[in-house]
Amino acid sequence: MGNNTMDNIERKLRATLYRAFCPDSTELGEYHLGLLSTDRRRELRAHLAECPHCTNELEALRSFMDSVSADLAPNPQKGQESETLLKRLVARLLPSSFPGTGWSPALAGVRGEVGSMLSFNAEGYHLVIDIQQDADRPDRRSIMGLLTGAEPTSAPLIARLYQASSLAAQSQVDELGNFAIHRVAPGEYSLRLSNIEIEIDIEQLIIA
Amino acid sequence: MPLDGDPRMLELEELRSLCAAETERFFRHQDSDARYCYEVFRRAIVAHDQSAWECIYTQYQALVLSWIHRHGLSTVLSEEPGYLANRAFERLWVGVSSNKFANFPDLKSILRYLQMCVNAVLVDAARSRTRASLVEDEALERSASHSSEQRSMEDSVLRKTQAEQLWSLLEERCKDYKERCILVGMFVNALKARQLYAEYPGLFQDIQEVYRVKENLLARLQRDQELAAYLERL
Ligand SMILES: [Zn+2]
Repeated sequence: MGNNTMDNIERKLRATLYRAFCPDSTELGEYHLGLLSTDRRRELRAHLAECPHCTNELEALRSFMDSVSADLAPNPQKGQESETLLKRLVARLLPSSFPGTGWSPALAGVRGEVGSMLSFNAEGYHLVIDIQQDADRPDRRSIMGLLTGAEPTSAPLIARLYQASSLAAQSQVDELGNFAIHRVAPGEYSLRLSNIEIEIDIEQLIIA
Repeated sequence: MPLDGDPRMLELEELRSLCAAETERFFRHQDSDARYCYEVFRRAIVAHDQSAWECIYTQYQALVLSWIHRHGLSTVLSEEPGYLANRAFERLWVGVSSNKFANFPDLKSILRYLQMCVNAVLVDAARSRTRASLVEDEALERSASHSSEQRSMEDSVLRKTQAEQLWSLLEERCKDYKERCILVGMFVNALKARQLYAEYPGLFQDIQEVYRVKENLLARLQRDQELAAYLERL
């Protein structure tokens, strides 16, 4: 037992625990591609909230896939692929979300306090956002979203949170329209739900 | 463009040349038909046709190599690009097996998966290297560049089991959330005190407190007989 000096313990803990709970890189990739079961996806989402390494790897994967996406073969239906147009919708806050009178979203941006429930409309889509205190990090927030309406799109939607036009966090929207972005620091953001066919934007979202 | 012929009725040789021609048209930004290449994949994966595999390898190896070269990690890793390409194809075979083929309705979805595999192979090489340098284990360093997929799978299963056992011992011994953050931050995520302090804003008063909580925790763990015995066995 004489071998268990403080340094030794530290070394053994690190050697045994370092990234031991990280999904393997293929599974992380399948998460990105929306190929995992709902349960496993939920587990990975929880892991990502606590693992800066996997979060960075996921972000690097996304930018790599973006950089090589032009090499992908077109869809089999002839003609359709070259004419696919991105449909861009700007989500508008519904009046029922305003917490009281005198609220001016145009001036103040859409402000989400802890516990607030915000409803947005974008053509046929309806988006509800619920701001909660983050379960693991009391100083941060979780954004829980639900997108309903319109017909389903062919590819999964990704919800991305941007701060000053750089990506702050992202999460996949599941088949039922649910998504969750955890550990969001208070601040001013924009939120975008998109895939290759459609883009739904909340241009200014202030997380209080 | 022969859109009407059913690719399933064609001989592999014919498919091979149509796939090559249509790929060429695609990269020239001309209308192209992906069904022939998709059929080659279907024969390889669902019908286990070895010649179809070879056809895929010949058709796509250069593209896979170009993805490897365009990946940010390729400049920092010393693995041969050809070796990495082979590993990426192996992952494709495992990930898009015949029982999962229905999840891949077109060529685009298969190639997207292959791109993901390229990334995964590079990320794993980088992970092994980081890990090896962290634990200063020469054997690991060696296996980082030469281990087979099978060997590294066995290693990772064993490591996971050990880590789970150790983690449950440690979690029982955590006094509070701060100590848990120290364990996660310093040992699972291998952050430096400064990084850990930044990762949990507002949790620690200053970096000194990060050190203090860590020292106290380690001192307590050091006195723990059961844990000491477990660590000895590692
Ligand atoms: Zn991780």
